[in-house]
Formats: sequence, C-alpha cells, structure tokens
Amino acid sequence: MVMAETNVVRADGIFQPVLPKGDVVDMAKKRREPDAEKAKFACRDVRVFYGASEALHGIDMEIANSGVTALIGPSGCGKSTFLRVFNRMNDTIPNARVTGDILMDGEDIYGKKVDPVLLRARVGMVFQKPNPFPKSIYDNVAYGPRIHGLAVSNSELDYIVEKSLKRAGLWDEVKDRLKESGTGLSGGQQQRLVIARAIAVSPEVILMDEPASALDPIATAKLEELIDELKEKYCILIVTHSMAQAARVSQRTAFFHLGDLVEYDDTQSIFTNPKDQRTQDYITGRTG
Amino acid sequence: MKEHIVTSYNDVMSDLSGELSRMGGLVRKQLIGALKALETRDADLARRIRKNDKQVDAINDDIEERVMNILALRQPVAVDLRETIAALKIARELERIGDLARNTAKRTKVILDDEPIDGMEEILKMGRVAVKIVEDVVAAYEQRDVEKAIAVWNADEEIDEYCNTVFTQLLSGMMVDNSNINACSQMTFVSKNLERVGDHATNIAESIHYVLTGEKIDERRPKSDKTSSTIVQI
Repeated sequence: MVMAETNVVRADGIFQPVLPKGDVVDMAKKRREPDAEKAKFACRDVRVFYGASEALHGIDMEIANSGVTALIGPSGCGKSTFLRVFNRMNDTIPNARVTGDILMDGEDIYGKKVDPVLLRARVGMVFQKPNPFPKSIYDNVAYGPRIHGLAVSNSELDYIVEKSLKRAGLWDEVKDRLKESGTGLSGGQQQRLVIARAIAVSPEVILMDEPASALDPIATAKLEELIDELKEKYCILIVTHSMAQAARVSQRTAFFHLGDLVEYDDTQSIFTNPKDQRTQDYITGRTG
Repeated sequence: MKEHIVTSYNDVMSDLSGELSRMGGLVRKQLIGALKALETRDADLARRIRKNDKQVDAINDDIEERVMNILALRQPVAVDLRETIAALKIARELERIGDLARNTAKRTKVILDDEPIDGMEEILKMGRVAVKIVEDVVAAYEQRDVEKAIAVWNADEEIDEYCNTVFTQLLSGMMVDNSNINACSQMTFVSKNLERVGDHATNIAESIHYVLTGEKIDERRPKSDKTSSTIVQI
C-alpha cells in the first residue's frame, strides 16, 4: 500500500519491492508530512452519547496539523471521551454513539468506507498505564508493521524497530536486550516503548490519555522531551490532569467542563490570561 | 473572586497582598514625613525619615522572598501568576518611592542653614499631589479598582506640569541671587524626586491594571516633564 509508486509486480507474479539504499524503506517518509497551515481535524457539532446520556454537547473545534494540543478539565468533563473520538475508540464501548462531523484532512473518519483498524494505524494512542504486549521489546514494536504489512523483509523490519525506538528515545537503553520482555522494563521505559510501538506504523496523529500520570518526575521529563521532539512531525493530542504539564508541553489548550468546550486558545493565553471564569477557577484551583 | 480549594494557598496570597499594602502605607508615611521636614525645616524628622527607609527595604526583601516561595511551591497561573509577579514589581516601585523620600529628607538637611527660597510653596504643592497619587494607587491596589488605577495613570501629568514650573522658578531664583544656589539646586533635585514618585506610581497603576484585566494599558504613558529641555533666558 505504502510503496505503490515504486514497487513492481514481476511477470511471474512475485512482488518486487524497490528499496532505497540500505535495503530499507523509511516508512515515516511515506506518510503525509504535516502542513502547519492546515488543520488536521475539523470537528463540527460533535456529540457523544452513552445510552441516552449526552456526554459531549456539540463540540466545534479544529486541531492543528502539527504541535501539541492539550485537553484539560475536571474528571467527567468529557475530555477523554473527546480524545477517543479521533480514533473511533468509542466504537468499542457498548451503547456509545457519536454524532456530528469529524474530518481528518477533510475526510469524514466516521464514513462508511473507513476501516477503524486502518484509522487507528494513522491515529495512534498511548494510555495512562503503559500497556506493552507480553512479548519481547522487539516484537512489541514490530507488531504493527507486521500486521499492516509495512515491512517486506526482516532487515526492513529491523530498521523500522530501531528507528522507532530511537525516535522514542529508548534505543540506547534497550538495544542490547531487544529479545527481553517489554513488560520487564520500568514504567517510564514501558511508556516510551508503547510510543515506539505507535510510531512504528508511521501514524499522523498520536493521542495520549494521561501518559505521565503513572511516571516519576524523571520518566515524566523524558516523556515530555520526547513529546517535544515528536511535535514537529506529528499532530499530538494529550489529555492531562497536570496543569503544569499541559503548560509545559502544549502549544494550544482546550478546557472542557461538563461536556462543553469552554475555552480553546494558545496555551500561553490560557495560563496567563484565561477569558472564561470557569477556566480561571479550574486552573488556579478555585472552588467550581 | 472565589477562594482557592487549598486554604493555605489563599492565606499566602492574601498575606502577600497584605504585606504590600503595609509597604504602601509605610512609603506614604515616609513621603509625608519628608515633605513635612522640608516644610518645617525639621532636621530631626528628616533624620528619622532617612533611618526609617531601612524598614521599607526590609519589607521589599520580605516580599521578594514570599514571591520566590509562591513561584517555587505553588506554581501560580492566570490571575495568581499575575498577582504574584505584580507584587514583586509593585514592591520594587514602592521601594524606589521610599528611596526618593529618603533622598528628599537628606537634601532638606543640607539647606537648613540657607534662607527660604521662592518656589518652595510650589514644591510643597507638588509634594501634596505626589502623596495623593501614592495614596490613590495604594488604594487602587487594595480595593482592586481598575478605574482608580487608570485615574492615577492619567494624574501623573499634573506632577509633570508642576515640575516644569518649579524648575523654571528655581533656575530664575539662582540667577537673581547666587546665595540661593545651594538651596535652589538641592530643590531642583527634590522636585525631580517628586516627579519620579509620580512615574513610579504610574508604573504601579500599570501593574494593577494588568493584574485586574490581564491586559496592558496600550496607550503611551503620559510624559509632560520638560525640564530636560528647559532654558531660562538671561
């Protein structure tokens, strides 16, 4: 799929990939590079229902093509529900129903022709608790490229694994023990392994649901440094309960309250001069 | 404004603004005292004013420490951040006003043996305007009154006008009788001190405006002091 322009199928029917130097294909180069001028997502009147109960009340929002957008708000405000809209994770929740338009690069991700599994390869997700597969470090990262058929040879797979682990800032720590179990790593390393796994399938978007809440300050700092590096190439959405973290890592911040998008602005404006009283009360820790 | 959920956060913020009010009150008292010493030629009062400036400096140090602690321990954002940073800036401005009051008292001592000069009445009037501006700006801070802060910001012009008048009077006084030179030259510094008091009060008004609105006063600050280009024809 990815190499359609350069690969050929020989007369005898054998698929013949044309590989660049080094016998590998840089999958990241094949993905759509972010255009900072354009919005990655455009949401119009997005509502999410759990049964009869409406959890999100018509969200209109555009998400930048690159950079980090933080979603903040008190528990139950709908921020995680909103995050899960972008890779259709709400599809997996019984009775959950999403209405409204969610366009990714202008295409409706809830369209009939969209395969949620393929969508999730483009829109990766990292959860609060690191969830490496009970497999080796190598296989954790290789899993996605294998099931999506992104590597045509072992050497290419090796290359993808190495590049993904390097990008996730984990390579130096694990390069000598790639066959060891991913679950044996520390919490911070596991979280970076999960990010490497997400990156391995060359996503365009990475969703993060409180990715640092189980990490110590050093592991958190490494994760934030990683987010800072990734933000140039990916559209990143992060849900966090840490105001300081939202302020540190994001360029745009959206404040949710009781299922409404209350305020969405440059992070600097939100944290120095929020316009809405509810935002101010929340971020300054006042009774709401 | 609503209270912080964490009571101790409320307490440190309210202690900070309380300390700043106390500093404002003390600086006002110092300025009134310095002008009184000048008016009544009271060497003893002038000495006390100079000595008391250490109290103003001590409160400034205390506020700096409180601000450091709030930044390190509370990581304030939004209005709390603006309050905290403004406290640091306002304390610095008040400390400078305190220095100007001290300097005025110091110069008072130098002219005690000289004859009274023309223009003193204008200097004292100018001093009363300066005191009023300091009182108003401290009240604007205490009452969180943005309109009052803007009024102070605009009132600085009046002091600048006085300064221009006084400066011309003092130069003329020196030319008419050179035995006035000591007192008149000291008084040019005093009038400049009072003009600077107005400038510092204006800066405080700008900080208050930023705390309360999150916006800077976008117009240019009024500047009517023309002493730097004043020439008296002989």
